Amino acid sequence: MALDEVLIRRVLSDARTTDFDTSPIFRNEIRNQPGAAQILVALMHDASPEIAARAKVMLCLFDSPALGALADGAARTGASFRAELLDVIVTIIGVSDPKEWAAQLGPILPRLVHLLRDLEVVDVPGGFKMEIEIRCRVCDLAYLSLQELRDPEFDGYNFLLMEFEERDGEVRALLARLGMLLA
Amino acid sequence: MRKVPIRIIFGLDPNDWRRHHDAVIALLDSICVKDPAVAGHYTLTTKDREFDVVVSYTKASFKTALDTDGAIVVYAGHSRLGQGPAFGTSVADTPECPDAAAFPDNPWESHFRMGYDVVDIPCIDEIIHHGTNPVEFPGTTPLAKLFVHDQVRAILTRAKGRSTRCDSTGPAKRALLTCFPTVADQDNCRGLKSLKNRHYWKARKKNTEFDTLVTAGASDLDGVSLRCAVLLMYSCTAKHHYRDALMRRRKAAKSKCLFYLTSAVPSGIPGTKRFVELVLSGVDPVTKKGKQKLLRELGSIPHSGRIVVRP
Repeated sequence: MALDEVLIRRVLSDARTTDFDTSPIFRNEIRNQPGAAQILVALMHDASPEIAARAKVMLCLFDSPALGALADGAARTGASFRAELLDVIVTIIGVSDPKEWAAQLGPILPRLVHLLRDLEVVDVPGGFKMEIEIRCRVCDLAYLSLQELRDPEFDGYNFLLMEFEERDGEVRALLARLGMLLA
Repeated sequence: MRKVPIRIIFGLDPNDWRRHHDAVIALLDSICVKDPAVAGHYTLTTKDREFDVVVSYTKASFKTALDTDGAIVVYAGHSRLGQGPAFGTSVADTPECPDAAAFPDNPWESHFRMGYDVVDIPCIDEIIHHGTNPVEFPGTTPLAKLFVHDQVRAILTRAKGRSTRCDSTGPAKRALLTCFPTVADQDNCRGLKSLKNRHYWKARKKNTEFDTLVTAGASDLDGVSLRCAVLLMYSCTAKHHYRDALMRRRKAAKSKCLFYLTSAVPSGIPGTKRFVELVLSGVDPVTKKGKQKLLRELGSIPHSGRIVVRP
């Protein structure tokens, strides 16, 4: 039977399930099933905040076959949504062996590069209460995500301390390097 | 039955971490047995584990936790820009700049030293903001003998031989009093002129912020054996500030402690609570499967700080 949104919504709506890995329906009928990631990306974008947040949790439990649907989602509207998609992509790739990161990132990279030109500022729910004031645009988060996935030891601290104009230079340099790679 | 100590320590200021703190306490209150005799002490017995959970707020308790055999240690608080986590004495709020009469010793300077020899901090957002007076890096130690992050090494290397004139560009050691006398001469909230004799290496924010180099070090970390099984540093960019010192100490002490470190800036959304919740549900942060589970779950939290595990 084809996987449908109703089944996924049913599991997402059941607040008693605090860990989807304990749900047999999730494990056997949803996780890594063809089409499931597309449905979850759509729910992350369109559903109520509660369901969208749980869809994100569920997506983070998927493996690399979900990456294509996630990369396609990067064309959707909403800076926070695109930032959250980046979280999921980094999480899914990040739990695999770093030797596999390049192979996992490569096929989806052309669909993510446009995020490096995305100047929308991302709203932070709950705010940061940090020593340093951090404001991030989608392009800043895309820069950090792609750099981290290209090099597990990448350190984005200095980048975070920069003003937007200074960060722009770093982002442009990465765009140029990726442009050469993708050409 | 396996005994699992969990030690949760909140650094300054608990108010900045209020959502984390309150969510963790609410979780423990709801699923654990609270010891009425000992504040912050909880137990939970499952079919194969006995969890012994302690929530605390002091530097001493953090130190003890790191040396507790097999403990899962959670630190939630500020990284203090690499100067070392700072602690108060309780969950009571500590003012951003504590009054000198009420707080003769500024709690924001009560660091657990666990980082590099020299760190780069902002004069206004840190020294003036918290009324601190950290020891300036004198610049006399040869670079080769310093344990510093590559980014500080780059500042020191690029500054070598450069003009210290106020109008010089790029990193250089310049006297704040000479270049920005009004900034240097201001009193902080504790009545100290803690910028007066300070130097800055870089000006930012259109000459309204000045980065200076101060001494920090890892003297407290080097005094523990890291007998804990796991340390989660849920603070700002902990990988940048503390990974190298932690790994150095781990090797010297022949410790097997695993470090869960933020590589970005976490938000107020309580990832700490989710971490504790999963551990109490049986997820073992030491195993490969447990690590993956925790990283997936924490990764789903918006602005969770992008946690990585080392080694």
